[in-house]
Amino acid sequence: MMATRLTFLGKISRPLRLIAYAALAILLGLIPFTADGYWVRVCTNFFMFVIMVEGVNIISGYTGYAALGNVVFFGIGAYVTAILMSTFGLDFFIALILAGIVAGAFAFGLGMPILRTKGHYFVMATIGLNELVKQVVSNLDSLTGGGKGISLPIPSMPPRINYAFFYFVMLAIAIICVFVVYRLSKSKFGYGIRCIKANEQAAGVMGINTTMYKALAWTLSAFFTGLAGGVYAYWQTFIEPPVVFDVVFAIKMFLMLLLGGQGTVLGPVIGTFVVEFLGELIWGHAADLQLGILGTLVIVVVLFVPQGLVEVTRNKTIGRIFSTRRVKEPQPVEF
Amino acid sequence: MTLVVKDLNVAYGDTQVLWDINISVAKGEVIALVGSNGAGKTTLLRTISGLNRPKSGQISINGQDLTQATPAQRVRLGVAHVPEGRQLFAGLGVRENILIGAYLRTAGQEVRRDLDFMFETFPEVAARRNQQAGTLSGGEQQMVALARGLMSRPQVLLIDELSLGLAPVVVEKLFNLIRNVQKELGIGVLVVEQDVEMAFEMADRGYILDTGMIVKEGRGEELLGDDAIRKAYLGI
Repeated sequence: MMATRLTFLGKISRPLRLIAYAALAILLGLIPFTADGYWVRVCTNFFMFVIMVEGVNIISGYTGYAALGNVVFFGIGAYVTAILMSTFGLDFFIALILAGIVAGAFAFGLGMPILRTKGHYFVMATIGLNELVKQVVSNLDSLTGGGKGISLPIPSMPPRINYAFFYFVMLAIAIICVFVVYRLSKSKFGYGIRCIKANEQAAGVMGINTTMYKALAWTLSAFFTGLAGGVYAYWQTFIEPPVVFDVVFAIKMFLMLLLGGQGTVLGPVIGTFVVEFLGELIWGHAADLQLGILGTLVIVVVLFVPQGLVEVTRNKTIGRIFSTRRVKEPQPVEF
Repeated sequence: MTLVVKDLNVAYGDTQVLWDINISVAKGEVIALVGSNGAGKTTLLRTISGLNRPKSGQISINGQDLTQATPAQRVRLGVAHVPEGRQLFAGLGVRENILIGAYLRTAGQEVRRDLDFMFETFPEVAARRNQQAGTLSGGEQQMVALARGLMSRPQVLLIDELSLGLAPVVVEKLFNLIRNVQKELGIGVLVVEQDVEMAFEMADRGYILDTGMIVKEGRGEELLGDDAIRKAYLGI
């Protein structure tokens, strides 16, 4: 098959490409020290959404299970980090890793029963799950602080360093996350979950352990989403249930995913970029129109590029920047 | 006997659809399973490959009990299912679709050899190996589904509605291909088929299923002239 592979700056010769990558790295490295604090926050937010949207991409884009309530893992990650740091006095990074693991374990345990449902039943089940956990967290006052929320230790860093710290932590996790999704898309496991999306029953009789694969895909998705929640909690230093279990968050994640292109590695990055930065620009100039313009954009994309903006990069002219190289005979799986 | 189904009862909720089914498929045998719509043919195949759970009874392959096994475990033990309507992965290429059949196998060299064998056996498919599976004709899609099933190196291949939506010439060709491949690989085949005449001509033995019960079994030619067929299909 003449498969297309999306490569950033793919049509440019190799040394030039390396220079471009280096320039991008330097640019990303310089932002927190040169840009205005506001834009550093916007960028950090962008990286956070990249992590979450890639997380949704794994379970929805690749496996075909629209986990609209995936924000529950963001909330769990945030609360685990908060509790471990403020009540148990754990170091941030240890608390963060544990938050990711708890979110992942939660997805694995609940995935087994919930992933038996399909289509809109699954969507509703995940939203129900989010509401359920939100209620539990709101009422477990002794552990979570209940509806009053919970404060985290305030990092003892000067503001600029503080901004840079969260910027780089989010950036690092986002890069790892995109890389993991890239590897996943090439792996035998990735092949398996794509088959589940295409035809679950046929995948089952081909010998793919569908229950386990779905649960593992959701675990991975939840792990990254939990990490994003953990960093968010320490970044904000205060969280409360309505904020970290907000369904509007979840809808925004899906907007970004569909806009960029689900089931692709870079689609979520593109979608998040457009929504976050375009959103900020419009907000700055025409706050009233923001939602209207974004909504129109979504309709246009759904009508004309249903595969998402990633498809646009396959266009000839634009393709010079984001090019799709035609690769001969892909080896989807190495046996 | 490779595949043995013993006293199998299957129900959907309170509605029992299969009653005390006993069938067997030996190595190198082609078995036809015929019966009118709603007789339970597809349910029987789905129960053998683990998509449905039986109420009671036993399914075994080479003496090994499968009754509690998951679909994936059954593939490993040698059951391959070519489902009704082919159920290809439409978004994936032909080659990828065939390779999925070998998902559980780890010996790369052998898998590649088997893939070449499939392309030799189904040359029409080989010519389209890089296309999307959804763009193929019905007959070609059925070939992909068969090749996919064979890629797991099964002991028994279950084929549901081989002729669904296909021209009679194509079905005959597929039947001949199946006979050749099956002989060469020494596997058992259990095929559900609507074209009764062709099915019994091609098969070594056959079973007639009527409202969930096996009403007749025997050698292919014998069953062809049997009244049970008319009864099972027309109820007269």
